[in-house]
Amino acid sequence: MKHKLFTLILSGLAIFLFSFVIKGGKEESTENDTCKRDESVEKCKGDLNPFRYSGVKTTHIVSKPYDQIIEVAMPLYFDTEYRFVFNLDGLNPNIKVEVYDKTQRDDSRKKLFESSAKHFQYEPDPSLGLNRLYINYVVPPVESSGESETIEKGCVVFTAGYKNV
Amino acid sequence: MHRLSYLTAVLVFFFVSCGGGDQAKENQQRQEEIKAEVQNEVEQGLDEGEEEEFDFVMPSALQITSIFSRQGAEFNKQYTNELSNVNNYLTKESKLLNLGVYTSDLCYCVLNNQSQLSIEYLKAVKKISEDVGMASIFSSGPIFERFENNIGNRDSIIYIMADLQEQTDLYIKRSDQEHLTMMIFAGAWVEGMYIGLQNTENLKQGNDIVPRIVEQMTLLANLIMGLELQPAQTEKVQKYQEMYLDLRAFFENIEGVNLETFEYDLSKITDEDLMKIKDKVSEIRNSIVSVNS
Repeated sequence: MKHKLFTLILSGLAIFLFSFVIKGGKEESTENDTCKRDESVEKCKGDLNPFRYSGVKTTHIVSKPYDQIIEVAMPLYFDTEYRFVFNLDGLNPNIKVEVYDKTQRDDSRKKLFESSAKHFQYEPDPSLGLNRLYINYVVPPVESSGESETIEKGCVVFTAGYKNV
Repeated sequence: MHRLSYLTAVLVFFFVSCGGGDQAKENQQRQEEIKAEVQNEVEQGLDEGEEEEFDFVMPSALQITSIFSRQGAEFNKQYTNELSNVNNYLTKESKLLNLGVYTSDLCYCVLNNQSQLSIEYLKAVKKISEDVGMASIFSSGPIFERFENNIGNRDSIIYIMADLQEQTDLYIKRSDQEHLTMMIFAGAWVEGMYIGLQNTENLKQGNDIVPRIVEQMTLLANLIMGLELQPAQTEKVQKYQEMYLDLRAFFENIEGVNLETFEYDLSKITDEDLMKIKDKVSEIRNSIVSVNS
């Protein structure tokens, strides 16, 4: 009985020490989230006028050591004028917003618009007769510093407005 | 003999009343459970990865309904969901779907200058929002008061409707509940389509409404994806997923339609195809608004 208890305590101690060694080998990462969704939405809304609010989409961006393209699809109605307002406050200034007529899976797609500003608007040309637009957030890689790592996070707020009610 | 029938009637009435009371109690208890269920989901929320799976922006109920209202058909109340149904939906899914349905009905009334009816539908939207734990949409500002004060002024009311949509979106975003939007949208979309199709006397090729209907159909792919991404794949969610999938499959099989690229050839869509779409949309819509759904 005494022997069993001793073995149990010893294994518990071993597990504790092992986990301590594992944890000690790598620094814990911290997060720096710059997303201020509500403030960004307010800013975007202000610029939608005189277009009528239709929808909002927040896309969270987490910087990675490799390139990323995050795609958001926006269905369009024929004969309707749209205005899109983007806000990228707090994000890496090298992030680009590109707008295409087709998805990134389609090689024949055409780029309709591009910007790397922090806050801007875009009005697609209704005469193009598109029924979808594809918004690509092109996120460049961030170099890992090795030891203590800070994960950079933020968000793009995209609001859509339309005319013709 | 008379006395016996009287006694039987009294007894029957007594038992029926007791039964009704039990039923009402049960319903109330179920309503409380749904509220707690949604509240619990709201507190947990989706994580950012799950949220990013909803990589599309859907149009608002106001926008869907306005597309059809531009066609100039007369207002017809019988195409809207009965107001008296609002208290009778007993599952979370039917409440969310019918929140969408009532929102489209509200927009339909507003766009057709139906002042009094608009207020009634706004009350229904408020009631069902409260039932699913979204009461704060209405408490964030005096939406009701603004609505009543501006009744008769179509432009102001439409502006308030857009505000209401915005409050709903923000609430859902803040609580990381993007999947709820998709349930609401599924209801709003089918009601918008139902009203549009029912309101068209001459549903045939060449009618101005045909391109509007077809472009709405291209939203089905995203709508179905929204249902597939529901974290709780209940029997009810799956049932509606099947129904929307069936509609999509029919549309996709029409010559000249490619839902992968969202391209279609309007000239290939026949009058029979349009009637079939109308029937299938009615079937989904009637199943959603049915109090036994």
